Amino acid sequence: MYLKIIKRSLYNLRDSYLIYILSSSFAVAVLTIFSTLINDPTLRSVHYWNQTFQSFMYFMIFIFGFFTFIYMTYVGGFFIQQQKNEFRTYKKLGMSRWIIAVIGFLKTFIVQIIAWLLGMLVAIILQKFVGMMLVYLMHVKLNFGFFLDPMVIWRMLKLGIYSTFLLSLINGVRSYWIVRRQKDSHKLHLNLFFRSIFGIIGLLMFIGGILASLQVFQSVSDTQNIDLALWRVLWIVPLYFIGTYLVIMGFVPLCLYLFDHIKLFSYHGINLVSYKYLRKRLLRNTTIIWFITEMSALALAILVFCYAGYQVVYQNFSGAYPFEVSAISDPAKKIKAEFAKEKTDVTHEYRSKIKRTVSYTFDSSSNQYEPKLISLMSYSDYHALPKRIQNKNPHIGPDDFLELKNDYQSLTPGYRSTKHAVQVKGTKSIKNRSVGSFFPYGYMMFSGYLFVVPDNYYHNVQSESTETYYGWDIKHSDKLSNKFLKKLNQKNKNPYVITVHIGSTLNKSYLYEKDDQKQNHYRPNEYYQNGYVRQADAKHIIDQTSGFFLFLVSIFSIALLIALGSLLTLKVLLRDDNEWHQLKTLKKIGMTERELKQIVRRETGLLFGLPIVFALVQSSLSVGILNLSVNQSAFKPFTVIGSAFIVLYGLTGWLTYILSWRGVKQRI
Amino acid sequence: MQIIVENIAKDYGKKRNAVHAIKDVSLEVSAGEFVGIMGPSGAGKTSLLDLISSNERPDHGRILIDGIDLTKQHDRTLAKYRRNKMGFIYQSFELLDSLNVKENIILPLVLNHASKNLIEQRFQHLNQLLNISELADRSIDDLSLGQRQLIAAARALINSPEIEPTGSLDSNSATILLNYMQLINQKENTTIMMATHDAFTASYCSRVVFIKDGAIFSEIVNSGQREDFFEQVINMQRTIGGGSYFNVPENN
Repeated sequence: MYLKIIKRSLYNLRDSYLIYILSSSFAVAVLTIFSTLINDPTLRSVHYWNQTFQSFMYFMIFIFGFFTFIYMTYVGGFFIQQQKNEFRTYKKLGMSRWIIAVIGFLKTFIVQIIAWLLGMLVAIILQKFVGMMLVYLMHVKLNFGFFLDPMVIWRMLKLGIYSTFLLSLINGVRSYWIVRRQKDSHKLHLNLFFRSIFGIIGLLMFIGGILASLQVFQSVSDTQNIDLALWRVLWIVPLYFIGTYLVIMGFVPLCLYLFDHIKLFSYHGINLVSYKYLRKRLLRNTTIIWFITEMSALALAILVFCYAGYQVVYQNFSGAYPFEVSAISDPAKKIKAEFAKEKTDVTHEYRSKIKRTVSYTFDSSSNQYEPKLISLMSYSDYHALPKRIQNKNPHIGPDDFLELKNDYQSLTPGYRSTKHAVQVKGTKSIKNRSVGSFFPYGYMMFSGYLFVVPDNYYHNVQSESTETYYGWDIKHSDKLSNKFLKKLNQKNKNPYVITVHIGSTLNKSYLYEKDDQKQNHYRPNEYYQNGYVRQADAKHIIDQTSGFFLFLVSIFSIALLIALGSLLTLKVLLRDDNEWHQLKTLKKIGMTERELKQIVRRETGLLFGLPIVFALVQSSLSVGILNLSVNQSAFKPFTVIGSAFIVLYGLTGWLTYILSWRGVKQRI
Repeated sequence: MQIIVENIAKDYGKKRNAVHAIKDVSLEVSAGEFVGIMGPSGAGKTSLLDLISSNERPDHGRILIDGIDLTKQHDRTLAKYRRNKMGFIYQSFELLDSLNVKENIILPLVLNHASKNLIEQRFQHLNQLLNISELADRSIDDLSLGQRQLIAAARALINSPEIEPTGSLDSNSATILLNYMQLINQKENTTIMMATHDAFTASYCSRVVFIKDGAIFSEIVNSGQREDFFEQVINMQRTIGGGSYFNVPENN
């Protein structure tokens, strides 16, 4: 008979159990796949896998496993809670508490073991596909073969059995405790007055958080005080956290209460029922909605930062290596000869002359003008460079000035400030100019500032040092052999150092060059000149690292979305007896399917809509604040990730609505 | 409204567990008739009313209301039909505990998007007849069983239905309601079908149909003398079992 009870209860909650099993098996599949990837022979042949990625993967498995267990423990409790009336009836009919606990235990055991085995099966099926995806993302040219370590499978099976046993035990104890109480001790309805007061306080806190965030934006751009901004964030975060909770707990129910009491709204079709129904559902699920809101906001912010971080790395890479190979005049001759010898397919060669002299440039940190090296390139030479380089800087005309600064300089205050003129030795000072950060031949090829200046200005400058830069676009690889590079490095890696001799005035300051290849540390008035840079040196590191982290971020985003989505879906699907009774009654007294659907739609909309709205507001502002220190717009990444989040969350909400309506239709 | 039930059958559950709730029942109720349905518990009274009120669809047979076959109608049409043409007083009252008394009563009108004036007007009309104004703002949880019955009846009547299938009227406090139902039956020609275990309540009807094991067992027609009819109902109840005849209010 007990087995019959278990079977019937599993059948009755089949939709909810199916969602739980699918989301849990996804987590198990990810864990299994990660475990097999760690010692995968294909990946172990990748240089950086053994160095860093493998240990990172161990850490990720631990984190993922921990949260999977938390998810299973938490969500497993929903099902026991859902059956509390059934269990209490069994008890009234004379069933002992221990037997009820055993029923709870066995039901969980069956569901958990199915989820675990299904997850492992999915992992075995998808292992090769996921591995191929990882290798592809890392741009590693290896054929990923199917690999299944029997030890990993055995370990996962053992882990499955232990965790299933533990979770079943937890739910058994829950079942035991739930029938000990004849009634729920917690009071669901807090006094409406207090709830409303808390709700209004929450709304004020939330609005206060928004205003404080906006004020931080303002104050940072005025005072350049990033530390203060970050300190204020510590005050803003609790405003959002507590404010959101109180709004969900008090303010939204208050709004529904008011709508319900204004006859203009409530005496209109299903409103008479739906405002109360929604309010009750909201009060019942306040904590879970808040939890999902905060987790979504956190996930969104992290994803935006990961994406923005990836963009910074990539931008940094392309800023350092705009050409396949860049060089100054001396090594350029040897490189060109090697290209010819190796029949390298050079698609374009670019060449630009620069002049160097001393300038007085305003230093924000010391708050005074200091003599510095300045490199100047003519507008014509700059204009002859590929558009992909020019497009990354502000657009300029033949008579305009463009100041190019390094990426790391972007962290200094007043990075984009142009209110202080630059005084160039022996010629007119530069007052109006645009500011960019993309150096034509890569920022490692220039020391100090580079100015693109009008041609006539360029010709008027008295040069104290000159150089010609070369850049080559190459089809496929540059074919530079290790032997050649070794030889080149001996002489031409850092061919010379330029020193600014600081005189009493600008005119008495001057430059001089000296060969110094062994020097590692440079004084503030010394600037090194790199001999050449090649993209191939860094590309594989960038590709592997960004591919690996893109892989992890994607998997974790999907996992988080599944976890949060399923949590909300289960909350929507698992109605208590009273809620079911109300829906049945509404149908009996003549509510049409369309109207019932409308109630289900509103319910799903509210439970999914609230977290989306609050998560988007919170994450956009926190991204905005933290982004102030990076000095790079996160608007685009946020828009992309926020839209993707809305679409995926919306899809989950829509699926939930379909499932929810299906369940309602079947049951009423 | 005339009701014709032709050879309807309804099973609940599947295969071995199937319960034959209604077995080949045929019945005709003329427009303006007040028909009682009696029988022991589990005989199929509520199932029959559920089928007539279109809450359930029969497995076989037809149900014609004024010549319209309910079994061929779309769910949406049936829902509107239930809302507008019928007033059902359910055995368990089926009141929504999230709504107060007044909101429960006016719900069918609100769902029909009736104007606020009409809603108030109808509510006041019922209030005069059933004297429910004191209960209007109270919660359903605070009502006695008799009061709940009254509110369920008021909700059923708010739309001035043409048919009134009544799941249960077994309480002493139903006298006001029964008098009112008799009144609307006579004045407005409303067809009333009422399931009851109570012989006194059944004595208000013009005809009582007895059901046993999902089939019609017998029927008695009220010839005009209420006491005689009451005796006949009690005798029939003794034959088929179930029911009560102890609920006669003292003033009756």
